[in-house]
Amino acid sequence: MPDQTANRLKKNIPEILKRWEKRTWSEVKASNHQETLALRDSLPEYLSKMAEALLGSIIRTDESRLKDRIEITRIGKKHGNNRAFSLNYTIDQLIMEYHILRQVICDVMDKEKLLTLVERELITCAIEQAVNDAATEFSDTVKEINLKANQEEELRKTIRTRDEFLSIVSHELKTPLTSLKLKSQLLLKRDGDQDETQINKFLKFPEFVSLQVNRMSHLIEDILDFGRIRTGSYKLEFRTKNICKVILDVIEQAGPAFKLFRLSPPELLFAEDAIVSIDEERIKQVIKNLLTNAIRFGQCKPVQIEVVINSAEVEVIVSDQGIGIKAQDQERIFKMFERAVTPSEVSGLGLGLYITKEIIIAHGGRVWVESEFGSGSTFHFALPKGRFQLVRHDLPKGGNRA
Amino acid sequence: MKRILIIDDELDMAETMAILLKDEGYEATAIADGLEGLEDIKKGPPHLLILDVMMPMINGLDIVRLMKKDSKLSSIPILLISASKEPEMENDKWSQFLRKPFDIYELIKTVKILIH
Repeated sequence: MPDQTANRLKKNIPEILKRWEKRTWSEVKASNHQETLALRDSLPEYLSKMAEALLGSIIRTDESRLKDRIEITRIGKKHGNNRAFSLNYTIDQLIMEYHILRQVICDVMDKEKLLTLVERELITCAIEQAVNDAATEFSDTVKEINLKANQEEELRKTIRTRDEFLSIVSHELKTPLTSLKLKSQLLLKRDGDQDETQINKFLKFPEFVSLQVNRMSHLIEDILDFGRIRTGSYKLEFRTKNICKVILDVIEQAGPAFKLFRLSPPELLFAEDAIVSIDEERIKQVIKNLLTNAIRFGQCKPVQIEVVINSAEVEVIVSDQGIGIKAQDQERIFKMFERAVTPSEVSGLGLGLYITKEIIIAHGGRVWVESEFGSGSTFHFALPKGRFQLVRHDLPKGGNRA
Repeated sequence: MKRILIIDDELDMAETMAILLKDEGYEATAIADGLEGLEDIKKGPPHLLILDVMMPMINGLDIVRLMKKDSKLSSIPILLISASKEPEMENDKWSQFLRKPFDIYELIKTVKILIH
């Protein structure tokens, strides 16, 4: 009997194929968009294998069963893999194709002569095996495709960010360069017309050159620091310091900037014995960054620096009464190349607060901002209180990801 | 004497351009703030406006748009300057563009073309 059934199945392959194809085109939505059905090419082979499984007259060895099993798995996987590359295809629709196949086989076979329970079971098992293999392969392939797509998107984003960064760097360096170029050409043009000292005094050339060169050097330092953070070559050397003394040094250095914006030096509210273990140059850089932002975005209004001591931390608070930062931007501004204003509004690389955050985290501290848009910003950073041994510390490669 | 207004948040650069243009026989004023500059234009339209694109509060392109909407100001020639590439705007709403870093001779040449 099984021999007859197997032969019947083999004989009916063209009919099964025709009916299965017809139903799949009409019932599986995603198939409507396909030029060919992925299972169609391998279906005759697949059905032959199924017929062999039903064939009782052949003495089936373990080896031949394994061979059939491998072959059915290969066909199922091929189907799953093909479908994974098809647009709009879901795993449900893939399973549906097999479900239709099972129904079509049973319908065609039953029409001639009812299948026995065992034969029906054998057909169902073979279909289930194939659907399982196809679904697994489909799912694995979709995961791989998505992973690749995400990696490609990430790469595109990185390239876009790099290009934007290069364009900003170029803009930031060109601005002081243009000033230097114009002023030096003007001096050359006027040379001989008037007394040189008088021209220098008139154009304040030495001060001007110093200011623009410092500006360019600051930009280049930021770019180099960014590179050091990304490659993990940013070294810190910790020493015990009173942070108030460090702040005073920065304010002294920032004198010309306050003068430029016609600002009085910041109001200072210092706690006593604010002792911390820090890399002095790096913390100076942090204070300078925060102070520069307070001056640039502070709308020429007074700036205040406060040092308070909490139970375990020394906290430095830099406040301005300027343009403020919108709530949705307050976290973003600490990320690389991010800023609260557009590059067309205010110059800068968008690296200052990113570098600030990396430095503070490397000190075991934290940094945050409180701000109301239009009413000013208050930047806080807190460092662990106390004296420590001299230690060296490297920033983690690629910067902090927290 | 032809009057030139220079608006650039880099005040030092704006002032340098003003000195240079005064040497060439123009009356030149430098202003660092866009809003203040716009008020100045409304008070007394200059013969030429030299305008930086990237500025805080109100950028150069916004100033151009506002001027083009005002019939009294729409015909003032504008020389846009920027370190970035030439901005894209619908129609030709400004007269010339100079990319930084330019030199004084380029500046003088362009100003002479626009003002005469």
